[in-house]
Amino acid sequence: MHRPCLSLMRSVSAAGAALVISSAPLIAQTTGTIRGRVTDASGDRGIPSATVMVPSRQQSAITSATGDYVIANVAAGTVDVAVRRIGYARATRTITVTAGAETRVDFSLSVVSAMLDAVVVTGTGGAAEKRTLGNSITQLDVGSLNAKTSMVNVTEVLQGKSPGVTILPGSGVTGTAGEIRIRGASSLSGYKPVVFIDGIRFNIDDLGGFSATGGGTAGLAQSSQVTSALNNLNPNDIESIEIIKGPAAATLYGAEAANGVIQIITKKGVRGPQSMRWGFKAETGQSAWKLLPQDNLKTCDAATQAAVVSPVDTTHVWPVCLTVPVNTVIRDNPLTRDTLAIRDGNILRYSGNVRGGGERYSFYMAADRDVEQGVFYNSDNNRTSIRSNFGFNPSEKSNFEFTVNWQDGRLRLPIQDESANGLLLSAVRGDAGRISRLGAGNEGWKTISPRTANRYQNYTESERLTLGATVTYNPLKWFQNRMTAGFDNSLTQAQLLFLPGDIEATQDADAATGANFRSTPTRRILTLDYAGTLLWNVRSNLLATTLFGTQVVADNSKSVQARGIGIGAIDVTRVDLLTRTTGLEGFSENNSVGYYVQEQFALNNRLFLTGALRADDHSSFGTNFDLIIYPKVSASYVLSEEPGAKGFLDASRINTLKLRTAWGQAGRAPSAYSAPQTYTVDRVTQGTATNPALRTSSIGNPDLKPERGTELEVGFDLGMFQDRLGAEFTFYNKTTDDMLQSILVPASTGFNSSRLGNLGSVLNRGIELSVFGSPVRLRQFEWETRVNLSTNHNELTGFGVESKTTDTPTGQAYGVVQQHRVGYPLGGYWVTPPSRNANGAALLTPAGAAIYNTGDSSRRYIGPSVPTREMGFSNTMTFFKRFSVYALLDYKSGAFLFNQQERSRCQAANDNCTRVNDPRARFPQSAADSVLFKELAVYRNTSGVSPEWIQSSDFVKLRELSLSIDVPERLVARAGASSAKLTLSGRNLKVWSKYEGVDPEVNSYGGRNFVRVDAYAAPMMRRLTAALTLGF
Amino acid sequence: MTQTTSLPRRFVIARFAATVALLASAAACNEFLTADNPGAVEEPDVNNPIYADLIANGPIFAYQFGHSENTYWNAQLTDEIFNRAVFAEEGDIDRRSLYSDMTYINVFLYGPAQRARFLSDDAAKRLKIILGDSASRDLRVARSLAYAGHAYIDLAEMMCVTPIDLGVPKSPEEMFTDAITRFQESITIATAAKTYFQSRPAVNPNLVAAADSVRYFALVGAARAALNKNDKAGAIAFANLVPAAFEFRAYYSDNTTGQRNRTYERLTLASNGYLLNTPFFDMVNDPRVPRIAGTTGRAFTPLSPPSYSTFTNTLAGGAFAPIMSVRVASGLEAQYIVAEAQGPTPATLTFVNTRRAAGLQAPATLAGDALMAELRDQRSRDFYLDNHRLGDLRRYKKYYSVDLFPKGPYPGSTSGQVYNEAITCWPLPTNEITGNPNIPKN
Repeated sequence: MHRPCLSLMRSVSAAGAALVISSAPLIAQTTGTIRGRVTDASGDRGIPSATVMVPSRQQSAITSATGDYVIANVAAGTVDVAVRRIGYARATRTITVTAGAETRVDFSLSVVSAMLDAVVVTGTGGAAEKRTLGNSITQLDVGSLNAKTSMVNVTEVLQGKSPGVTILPGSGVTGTAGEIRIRGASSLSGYKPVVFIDGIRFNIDDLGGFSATGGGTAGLAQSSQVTSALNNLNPNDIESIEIIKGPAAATLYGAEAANGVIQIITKKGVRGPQSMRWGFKAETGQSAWKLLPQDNLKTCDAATQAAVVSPVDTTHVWPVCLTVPVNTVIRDNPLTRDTLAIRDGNILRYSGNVRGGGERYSFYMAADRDVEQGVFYNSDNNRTSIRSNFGFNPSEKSNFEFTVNWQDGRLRLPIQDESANGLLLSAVRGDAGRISRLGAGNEGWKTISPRTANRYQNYTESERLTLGATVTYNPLKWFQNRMTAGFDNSLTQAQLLFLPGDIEATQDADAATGANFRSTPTRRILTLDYAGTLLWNVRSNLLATTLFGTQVVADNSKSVQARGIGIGAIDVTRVDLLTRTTGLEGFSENNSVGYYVQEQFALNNRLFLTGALRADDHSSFGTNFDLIIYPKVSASYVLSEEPGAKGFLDASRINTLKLRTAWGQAGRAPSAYSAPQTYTVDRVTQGTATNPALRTSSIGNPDLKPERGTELEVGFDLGMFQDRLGAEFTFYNKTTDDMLQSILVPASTGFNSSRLGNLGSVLNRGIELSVFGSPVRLRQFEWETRVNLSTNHNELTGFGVESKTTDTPTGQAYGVVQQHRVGYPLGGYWVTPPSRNANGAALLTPAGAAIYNTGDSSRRYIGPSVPTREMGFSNTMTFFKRFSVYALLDYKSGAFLFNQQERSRCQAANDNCTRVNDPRARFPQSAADSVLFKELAVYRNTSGVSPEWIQSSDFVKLRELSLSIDVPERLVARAGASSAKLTLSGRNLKVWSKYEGVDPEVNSYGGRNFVRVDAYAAPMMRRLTAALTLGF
Repeated sequence: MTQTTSLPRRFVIARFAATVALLASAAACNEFLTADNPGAVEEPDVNNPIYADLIANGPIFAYQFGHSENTYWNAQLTDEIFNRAVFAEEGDIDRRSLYSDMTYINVFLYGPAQRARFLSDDAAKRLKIILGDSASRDLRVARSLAYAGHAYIDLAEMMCVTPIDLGVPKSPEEMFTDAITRFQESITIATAAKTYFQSRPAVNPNLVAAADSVRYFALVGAARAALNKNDKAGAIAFANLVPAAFEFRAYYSDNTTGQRNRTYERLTLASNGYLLNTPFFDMVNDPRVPRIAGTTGRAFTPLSPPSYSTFTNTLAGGAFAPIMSVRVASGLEAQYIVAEAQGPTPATLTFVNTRRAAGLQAPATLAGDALMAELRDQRSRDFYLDNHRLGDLRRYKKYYSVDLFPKGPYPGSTSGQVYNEAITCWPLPTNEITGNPNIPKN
């Protein structure tokens, strides 16, 4: 960071501290205590984790597992006491606190649908009630979700629970992560949302380990096994998650927020009398591979039965075929047969936390340890985290919150995907009944056996420290200040080690000698965020709120990599002692400064009109481009509180109705160093010497600017039947202009590279609907249900380049299968169908090969590569107030997936798929059989990908199912505890899909934007766990 | 709704203060918004005198890399190797079914060749700025200009047309003319450098030899360009100044990607390109066209020909190696240029028989077209796989009406594929067509 800004930050911090210190108050001498219990509508069941507060005194408490709370040292007098909990109606009581006495205030909360009083902090510049927002916002009560079921990472928390948020998992290997897309892909160059944790920008990129594609030293490209730093966060530490989904809501986050913003709010302590509450959770279980690939088939025809190794060696190649009649189809599945291939991975998770506080402080501390074995023997993921939140309010005008989060992870990945060293590839391409190609004892495996594959070691050890501090200072009723500062520091140590012989020699030239690669990527993101609020009662019924602020983010990444190839002695693997060594260094810096001002007018606390401007400057902007300004306007109208509409709404059984609309812009900044024209140093061989040479690097673009996302949202929040039924509906229309697009530079410039430009536009349009409520609320039975529906129409509306209508996503391994075409979704599937006669029969060459035309014009659109329709359907049924059953069904449709795995099995090199071994096709006896035979040529085509392999990936999954039992208090008390819950959880239990592959969610190219291929990626694993949660 | 006090005046003051604070902080953060980049030199800093040697090495780096890329792909386009590969574009190249959308053109051929051309021109210009008056006798300038000339030749020999710096595309003849301009300036500066070195109190013979080397490198290039323009007198004039033993080489190692020889990588690490179905397949008894024997998995893959330092001059041949050098200009080439330019003379016959002896062939008595055909044949063997063939075939076809490009049915095709006889050069890649404002769009 350069000095002027550093000094500015120091000055601002010092001023803030001085203001706070000088305002330290005298503690009131005459106080009383407020005590009570918060229960559900029946009055029987305590509601935990509800916030009870005395707003005028800035005092609050959080209810215990039984719903009890205490707020001590409340200044005597008449005060309002309010209680708030996501999912329940807000309640307020006015009471009189008597000095030296205790006042009891119990609350009974009803479950509500449209929570207009819920407070959110994301995209608003500060805490704001949902009623004031013209945009939609999703608020996930992670604390409650954690109590219902088992979720090991943030991706699982988000999956199926927020309309418009699409999780694309990629791989089922433990420790891997899915991609997050919000409201579709809005750019050719990236679509990740930005994530904040308690206001601090949080790194969610790949952990930086070596890709486990198994290509040895050459194959370090991305694979299905994408990781994410986001998933190092333990869901047990999260109180809630807020998601704003596009530019209309994210304007105040500026030039990096066009793809949406996710704010993670961690658990905090409890202010009040001296108190401590302990919680412990222990969970154990197993993950298992249940979506198994199809058996490998082999037709034992006469030639097979006669085959011998060579004229000299007359050993039969297919000995099993000799034991069955000719033309019998035999089958095998080495993955399930070989006991060293896969296992049921054990899961152990422990966590403990304590939360409490005193009159002026609160704290929350938690420690977690997760140990999870993968289904492969060289796959596991261990995670340890410690979190501490500390709050201190020296006066009614000021408050400090400090958060510390430390995480340590150790991930080990097996080889997967399109590698001959991957067990799944070796298994599904296996030859049933053949003598082993890999030596006796390895029958059925094609390219590698578990005995070799399990020796591969790919470790990623990550350590992460996130520190944050938020100071709130409200010197006057009409002037409020909040400043947040902190950093997120990630340090990874990765190792890829294979000894001589561990990697199949055909995969890598260095396989025979072994290699040891070490890498230490680090990333540090500094955040400084100030927001000031000015309140002005223009009239008794009109409140003007002015919000202004600034946000500074400094993002710095470094990596150092040492690569050694050629292990002389297997016990000596230190990089510097290997035959050939190289070093690599990476560096990237992105700094941004944003300013915003927002004006909101609230009329009668029912009509809210908001306008805002955000200005951003960024280190990646071109020199010819200075600031970008994003505007925003929104309106929210709580019609149900309008006296004139009440009669009509009551008659319609509508008790809550908010109409809202928002229009706004936000952006996405270019990647670092895209703007300046640069040269770099390369090396040149001169005789026997290597010397440095200057060469062109990036041609740059001095006009480079961020993308401009523009979004219109229109919707409503609805509560009916006394809030038993609720609905939130949003229509969005989001366009991205000035799209960041990598354009190949004409080589006559001397710069043989691409250049980032602002060209083209993308449209995303859709609806999001959540319907939720409690249809049945009986004394001994309650049913809560929620349906989240969303659609997304994604369309490339133009490249911005004259006559350009088509582009191809990079990183496709089987020729062009996906394309970006104007008028169609980004990354849609476009393939050439085989030539057919008028009757639809495939035309074949004399050699029996299917005939395909070539060139782009012969391609036909098959469909999009990501879902266009999604639904999450969850139900919670509670019996006798103690037994809860929770289930989540996850439905995705509209997408297609390239089934390369099955395609490969049907090709001549493998010949083990069902189609090839279908006796009707193999030995045609009729005209219909002949058609089947001809279709085999289509399926077996190697020169191009036939449309038959681009298959619908629609599915319904039973994603989560759990049973929770609250142990009776009398039993719990015997153990000295205050509460106990036993939870049995299952994940990925059942899939309904017509997709021909194993799992319609996998993607072997997770790290490459848009490319989606099912090519030997491990499917989602079933997980069963049992957890015991104790409270003290 | 929070209840507040109505204080409009203070409110206005507070708003004003906030605005001032925000603007002040904005002004302070300009430096913060300049990101460090330890991996690059930005444009204003490139002309720093401390970079002079690095600038001068740029053309060598780019030419060596580009030359090895062009060698392989031009060999596949001509008749030097055959490759009916699984990758569609490689088969298309082998059949000369070329189209602008091919990614290979920009990535492997045109891009590296244009970078070599640009860096050479750019280095000469920058060095002249940095060095001032001394540039007129600085060997680094002369060498950069010589590389520039050779880079122009490479582009002219392989591309149908070539735009320079987003300009109007130039014909091969214009490019050859541009090359000669650079060679002549290079020769002048190298000569001045030699004079300067010889005038120093303690003459460094290595520097004098280096000046000669650059001068001969330029002379061979000038002769080659002149011959390609059908300026036979000019070609002879340049070529006659080159000693027979002169060689100028490109050097390679496997230290980094940019130092690797791409022809070696493609013929050794991958199994691409064979002598099958080429006229060179039959030259089985000539040590200048060695190949892997026909019983192994990579049968008939070329081994090191004469231009490579790994050449063994045996029928068994020697493998390419990651660390090796390749002859890119030589006295031998100058002799071939003289022979071709002077036609079927007795001197040409003598030269041809010298080369036949190198290929273990008996002397021949030839004259007229037969002698010139034999000269072309010997040239194809002596310069096998060193990026001369495409220029040669285009020149033969254009000036002598001798078409040696592969023709007719494409070997091994089951779908009736044929060689595209209309194509003898690489088209511009799409990104040059779309991104260059001086290329008309259809």
